[in-house]
Amino acid sequence: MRLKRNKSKKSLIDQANLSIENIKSQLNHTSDLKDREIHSNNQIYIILYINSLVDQEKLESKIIKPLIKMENNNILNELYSQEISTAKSNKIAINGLLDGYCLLIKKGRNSEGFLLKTNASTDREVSEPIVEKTILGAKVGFVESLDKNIFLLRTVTKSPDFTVKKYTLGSSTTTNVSLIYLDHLTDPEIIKKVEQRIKSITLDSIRSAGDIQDCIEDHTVTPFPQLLLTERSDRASANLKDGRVALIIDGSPTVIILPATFMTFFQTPDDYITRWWLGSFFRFIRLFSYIIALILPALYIAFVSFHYEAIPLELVYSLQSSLSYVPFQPFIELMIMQLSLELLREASIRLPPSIAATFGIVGGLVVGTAMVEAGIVSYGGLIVVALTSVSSFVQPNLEMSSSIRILGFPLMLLAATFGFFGIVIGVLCVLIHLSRLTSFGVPYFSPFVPLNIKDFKDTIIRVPSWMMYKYSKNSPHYKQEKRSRKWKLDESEEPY
Amino acid sequence: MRKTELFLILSILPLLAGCWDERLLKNSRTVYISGFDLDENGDYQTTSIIRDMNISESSRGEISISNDLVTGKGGSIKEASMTIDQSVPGYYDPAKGRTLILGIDVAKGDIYNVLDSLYRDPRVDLNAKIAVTDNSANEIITHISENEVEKGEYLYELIHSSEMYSKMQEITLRSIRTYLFDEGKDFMLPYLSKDEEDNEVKINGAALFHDHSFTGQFLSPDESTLLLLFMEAQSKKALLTEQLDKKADGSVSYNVKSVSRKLKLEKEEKVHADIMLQLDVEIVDYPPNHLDKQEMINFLENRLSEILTEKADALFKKLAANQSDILGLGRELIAFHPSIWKEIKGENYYEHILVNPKVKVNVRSSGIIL
Repeated sequence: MRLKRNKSKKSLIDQANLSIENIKSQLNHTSDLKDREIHSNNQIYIILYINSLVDQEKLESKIIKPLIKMENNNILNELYSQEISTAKSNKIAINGLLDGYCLLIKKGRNSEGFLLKTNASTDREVSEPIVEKTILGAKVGFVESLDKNIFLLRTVTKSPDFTVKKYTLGSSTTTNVSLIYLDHLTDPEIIKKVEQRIKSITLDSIRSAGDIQDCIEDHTVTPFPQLLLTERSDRASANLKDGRVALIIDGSPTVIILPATFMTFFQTPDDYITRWWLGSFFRFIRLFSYIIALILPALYIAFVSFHYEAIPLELVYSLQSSLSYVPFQPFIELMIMQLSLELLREASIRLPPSIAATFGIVGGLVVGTAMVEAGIVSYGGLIVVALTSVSSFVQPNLEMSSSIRILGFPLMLLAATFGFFGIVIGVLCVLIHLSRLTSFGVPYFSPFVPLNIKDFKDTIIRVPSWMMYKYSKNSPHYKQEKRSRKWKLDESEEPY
Repeated sequence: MRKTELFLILSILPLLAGCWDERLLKNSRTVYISGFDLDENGDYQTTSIIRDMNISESSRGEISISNDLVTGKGGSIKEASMTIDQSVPGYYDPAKGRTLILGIDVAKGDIYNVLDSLYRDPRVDLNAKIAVTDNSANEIITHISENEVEKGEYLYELIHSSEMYSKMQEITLRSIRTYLFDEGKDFMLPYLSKDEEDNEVKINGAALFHDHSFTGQFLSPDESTLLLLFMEAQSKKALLTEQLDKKADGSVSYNVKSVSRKLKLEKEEKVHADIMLQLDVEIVDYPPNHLDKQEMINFLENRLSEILTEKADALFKKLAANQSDILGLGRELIAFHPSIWKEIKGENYYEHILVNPKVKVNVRSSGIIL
């Protein structure tokens, strides 16, 4: 029954002739769909719009008022709307109405209508995103409006090569998506691939950036994100300038950057604002903390249940002294600790900031110490879990740090069954997996596998910006001029 | 189908590695020091200290340390360990022991009998130090367990520091094995004794070994430093003091900065080993001073060369008497003069070697004053 109805609806939409009655029935005679007849110059015009989507002010002053005062019949010259397009079918007209346009139809000539831009915008103020904080750098985050986001990007990426392509996705409810790239820097292969993948999305509706990510990423069975999600406009802009592509989804402040390699997730805008020594140091710390967060719990388990001969004697005694009260296996002990930490983390997300501080003290300090004193976990285990979670907070990207959480548990299990041998197996599997991943055809573990030492200049370390004159292999068309520090040569030649 | 097979093989393979025998740290009784003795019946007696740290529940994490002295007897070292295992809660684990003490009876026999079981255990700390005592190991360890409770790895540090000052040859459980099975080389171990007056365990000198067993003789720390210089095996610091005259203030202390040795081996009636040792020294203590004058330096150089050559003569006579080839002349012969080695090789090859040492001292520095 339902199917049948849908089918009949569809056929009506596809009907070539523009008919107000049809449009109204398509939109189920929704009560916020308004129409207004205007008599002007012996003509009757009908304006059709969805009340809740249009800006009343705009509609009155820019469409209705000039229409009434109109002296000749040339509509295109008289209306103040910045965007006018002709709608020749019901489908186009309905999509326009849903985007906040109003439909202007001359009565008597049903075949043609004009779509006039009158949409209301509910932009919030631009503010710094909560998740990706930086010390220095722009305090500009994306908002929920597509146009404003493009505006934010364009203002920091002024270039004639800045290219925007719009897509409408979703078959039952539609969402506008924009693809943005710098034409002279971006590999055309990647653009082709992205376009192809976006066009193949046939989801009923797009809820968030995650839906698109699910549909277009190369590999879904992996803990590693292959698309970078960001709310920072400077980060998105920097990535555009590196030859990457941005996908902005209407209604979402999260922008998708692609293709992202493993090392992309360790770069932050801060690295490029501070001097390069400091930037390189921070990068290194981040990479180091990633490794620590990944294997430290596993190492601890392996040490205390298999290989305690490998730790210094004094440490053996002090670990042993608090371990001897713990009734569980080291693996269970760490699992209890890790799980309770996950609980704390999950709980604190939804707490208002005023309670969160108290919660942190009660949850972290009190529970932690009490657990040790009650003999549920040992001091060693507590230190390991605390260090691990601190290291995972160092990660600038939320998704990348969650990959640690997902990979950490199997590694702990392997360490508990095979000791060091298990850790080696586990880490090897992760490395092999990383080497096999691709993101839009770009090797995911890129400067390491395949090895490309020249690309290390902006991965493990960050060299000064005047040294980055060559772009990576994937965008070979463009080179930065090499002369940023030529003044030094000039100055030394100057006679005193 | 192939994928399932591959998956099965890959999941079974880790199990074959045999690395999954769990040994929980909390159940183990970690040994801190071990000693081995031989009793009248020919049984081995192992004495170990098991250290425990206890966090007291009442006074919030205060740590107290207690030593647990355990002994066990058996026909082999392993059997003795098993006897101990039966008397302690948890697993008795000698792997972490960083100091091994050989009682005099054990040292005089074949010491490899004691070490064999250690080499067969993959977990043993190969950097453990080995020492010989003038009495039974049991006595020394009992003394340590009663008196050195708070001092951490007392014996290990004791031996380590004397190695740092070139008083002892650097020997660990790992390196001793090469000496044991090298036909042309012997070694010396720290010789411990209990000082009754000070109630302390001290290093008395270096016990000389021949082949696998202790000769009964030992070198004084000064002699052993000189020997280490002849071996070019000194550490960064090699401090020596010589009395130039009979007068009380006629002493000079010096630190050997670098050594160069020339060794000549010739076969005549006996094998003559002429060793020419050049020492570059730094004067660290010489109250009479006037080291800015060349005559003074010359006097010191000549006098020191004389004294050291004399001492070296005595030293090598002592080594010859004990057949202890610590210098590794046998190895030298095997490597560079195989024809000579063929004639003299055998257990007591050292009697065929006559060492003729000569020392030349060069004063290179006198500290930050002249």
